[in-house]
Amino acid sequence: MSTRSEEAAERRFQRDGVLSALVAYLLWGVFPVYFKLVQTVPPTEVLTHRIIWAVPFGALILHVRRQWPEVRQAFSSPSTVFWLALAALFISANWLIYIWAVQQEEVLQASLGYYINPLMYVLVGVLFLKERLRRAQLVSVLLAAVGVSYLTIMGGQFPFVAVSLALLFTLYGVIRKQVAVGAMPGLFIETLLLFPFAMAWLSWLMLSQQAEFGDGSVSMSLLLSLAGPLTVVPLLLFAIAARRLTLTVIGFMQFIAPTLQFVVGIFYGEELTTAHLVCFTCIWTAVAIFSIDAFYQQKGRAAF
Amino acid sequence: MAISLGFGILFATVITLFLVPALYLLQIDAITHIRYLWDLLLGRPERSESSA
Repeated sequence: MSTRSEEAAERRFQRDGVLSALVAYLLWGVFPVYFKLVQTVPPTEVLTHRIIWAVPFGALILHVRRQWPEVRQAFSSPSTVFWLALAALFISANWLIYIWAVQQEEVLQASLGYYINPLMYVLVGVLFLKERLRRAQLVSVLLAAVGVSYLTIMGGQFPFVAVSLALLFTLYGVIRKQVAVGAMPGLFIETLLLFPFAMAWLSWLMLSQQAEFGDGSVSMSLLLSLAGPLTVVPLLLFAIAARRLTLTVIGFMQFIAPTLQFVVGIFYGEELTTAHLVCFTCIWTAVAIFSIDAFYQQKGRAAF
Repeated sequence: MAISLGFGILFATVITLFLVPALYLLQIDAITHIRYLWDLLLGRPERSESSA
């Protein structure tokens, strides 16, 4: 009798994880729409709002979830703070490029970047952590490289945006993995460390009458302050999902975001040239090989 | 008058015996769901959420 209710509880636990991950990736996938809405605001100002408003909103959530001890614990170790500061640097650069890309009508490249991301992760593992590639992983990384080179040579443009987004996000991920700080406290500390700089920058913009915030319409100011919750909420959902699901499931689901971004990019009428299409096809195939390999690897390791 | 009393009783019977209990059940269900969602999103995490 009790085992049945335990099973039901476990199923509910898993279902909540899948739903949380689904909503998180949906939000990340349609995130470009928000940056299109604040199109008239320069990317640097949008970035300052993401940082500034994420701090009070993050604090509110940390308070309700009673996670302050985790924050205090992280601050008691200088090396943890140092690594989080470095991570903050990478993630803010990633955010800035992302916002800029969306406003420059490069949503497709942003989407490409997040497809490449897991492959970049593997590549960094090989280069810096001396990991060895399985054959399927090698094939998918090479295939991705072929796709990117094809776009560079035939399309006449190296996808700087995609590659830098993927690289910055991977470096961020690698650093965050090294420090044992939870997702929410981690994001809070990162944005808190960036807060003074963002505040100084925004103050300067406002004093020199260049800021859209406060100077423009009220609705625009409110929309800009929404950047905080929009940064925090998907990560909160991701954190909930991450401790309920295995990495393999998360690994599959992560491609929801770039897929939606791709759809959003097409929806905004971005041009999909033949070179783009060839590149995307290479990447999609690489991602498929990569995922299937990960699936079988996981299956072989765990018997249940 | 007898007719109006009769209809009043008929009407009130439906309200007190069916509508009011049904509304209470709806309220309990809604509270359960909202509390579940609240705990899921904002409850204290049972173990540390180390980043994946």
